[in-house]
Amino acid sequence: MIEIKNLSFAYDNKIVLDDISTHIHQGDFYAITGPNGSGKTTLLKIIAGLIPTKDSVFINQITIKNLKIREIAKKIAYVPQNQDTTFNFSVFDTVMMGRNPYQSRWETFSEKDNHIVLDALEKTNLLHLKDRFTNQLSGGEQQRVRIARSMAQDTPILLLDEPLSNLDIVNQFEIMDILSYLNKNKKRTIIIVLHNFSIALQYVKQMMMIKEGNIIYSGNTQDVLTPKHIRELFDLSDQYLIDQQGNILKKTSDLF
Amino acid sequence: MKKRSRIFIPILFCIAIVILIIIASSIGVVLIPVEDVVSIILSKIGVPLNSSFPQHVELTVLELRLPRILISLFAGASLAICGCAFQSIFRNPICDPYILGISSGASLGAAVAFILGWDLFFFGVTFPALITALATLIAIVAIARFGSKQSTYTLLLTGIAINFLISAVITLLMVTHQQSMQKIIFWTMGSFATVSWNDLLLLLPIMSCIVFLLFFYAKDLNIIQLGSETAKSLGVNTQKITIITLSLASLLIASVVSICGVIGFIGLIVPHMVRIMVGNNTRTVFIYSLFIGAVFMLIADTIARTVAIPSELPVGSITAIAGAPYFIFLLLRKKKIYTI
Repeated sequence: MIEIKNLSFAYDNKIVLDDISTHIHQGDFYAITGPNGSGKTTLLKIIAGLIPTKDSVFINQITIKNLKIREIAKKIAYVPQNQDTTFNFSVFDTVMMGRNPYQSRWETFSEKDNHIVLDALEKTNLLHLKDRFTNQLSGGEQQRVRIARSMAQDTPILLLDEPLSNLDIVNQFEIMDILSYLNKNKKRTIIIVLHNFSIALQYVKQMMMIKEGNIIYSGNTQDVLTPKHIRELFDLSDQYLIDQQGNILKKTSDLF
Repeated sequence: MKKRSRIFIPILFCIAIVILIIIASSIGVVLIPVEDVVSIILSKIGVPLNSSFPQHVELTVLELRLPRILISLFAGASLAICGCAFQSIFRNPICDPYILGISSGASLGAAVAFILGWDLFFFGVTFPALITALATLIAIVAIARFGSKQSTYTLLLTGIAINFLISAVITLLMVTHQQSMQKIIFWTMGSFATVSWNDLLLLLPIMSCIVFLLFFYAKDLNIIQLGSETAKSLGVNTQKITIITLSLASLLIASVVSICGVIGFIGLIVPHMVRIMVGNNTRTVFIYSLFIGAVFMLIADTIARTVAIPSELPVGSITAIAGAPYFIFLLLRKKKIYTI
């Protein structure tokens, strides 16, 4: 479904992605992990068509370069890591913006749009908050609004950049439950940037480890997330201990 | 906005504006009874009436007050809708229509026209002001696009830099041509004292087209509020929409400033008032800004020309004195609808 061929990318002569090639199949639930600055977000943005590149990313054999912005928006929904809005809208209006690729400029929304948005709000447990302004919500609720908007976009592919960051553990599980529902019941292909390895082992089928712009390991999550691979990914010394769930602990006795 | 409100509120505003036009036409140095104003206007638009009025009364209403009132309405509406557009484009609630330096560009053209004595000719100030305002806009966009990082912030900062540059040039021109200084200062303070029907003929078609186009792009401006990347992922070509809407709003501002000078505050305060009242949906904010901007400016100009008869106050000071306390009241009273 998504094919990446020999993708290289540099910001101001600094190589961020170095000759990456991979396949992501329809219905995959794929996690990308790696240290800060390893190129995860850049890779996600390139797949989403937000950063223009050469003929390196193909969606169903069509290069993303040849697709118009609106066509891409019907195929791929992208949920950024942070979203700063100055002028806020109601939860309903924000989620309705997900229907933009299907609407004309003069159109407000159709009965079908309304039904899709209400369904997305219900699945993300936001129906009771639909008239609230988004800046009046908690971090977890705001993240659910972003996911509801991407659900309303009704795309076969969903890309999420660290959707669990800054969330408490209950909210993290709630978000992962929603994504798992979308993957299993709605057959969405999901690519998510993730740092919580125990959650990855529980929910995600495939995983890719990126280090310094290269894919160092990819495959089934359980095969990829081994203590040896994690140690290599982050260059961890013997001071760090890694358990079978991917939890990392540091020996602190030397410090005090 | 609910369907019923969508129809009734503009109708209510239109009725209020007609009433205000009649009241404003009747007051001034010479007080003219409201019924006489109505009769003069009706007879002018072809309604057969038996009554007749002295020529100077008809001239006062039709040639002095009515064009001024209509231009103040359209200028107020234009400034308010452009203020809203600028705030949406830059995702910044403290943007006003003059932030990019378009007004300074217009002021430069006007200053040169006054120095060269062109103010005695037909459109002698308006055209140079319009041309330099447009040249400023083109320069800002060109410089911002030349840079490696093409963002709205680059555009905004380029505009601010150009604004300072042109203001400095105007100051130098005033110092070196002191005989024109008073005219230039008075013009830059903004006034409707010298406007005529010809100005209306210039402003009305430009305003109609641009307002229509801004409404056309209102939905895109809503989505841009979610951030450039999110907007792109929702199918909005942010760069194209930014350039188009910015150019449209700037062209309208250039037209308004070239006719009546720089009148501050309306472009900043009216969109804020409207956002506090009706939320942030750009199309709704546009509709309300048009009407409230028009009414606000008409009332301000009527006060400016009548409160200190026979002299006139700068309309910009009236807009600030009247608007600022009300704005603070709204800010303290209403829910927070934007995040700074």
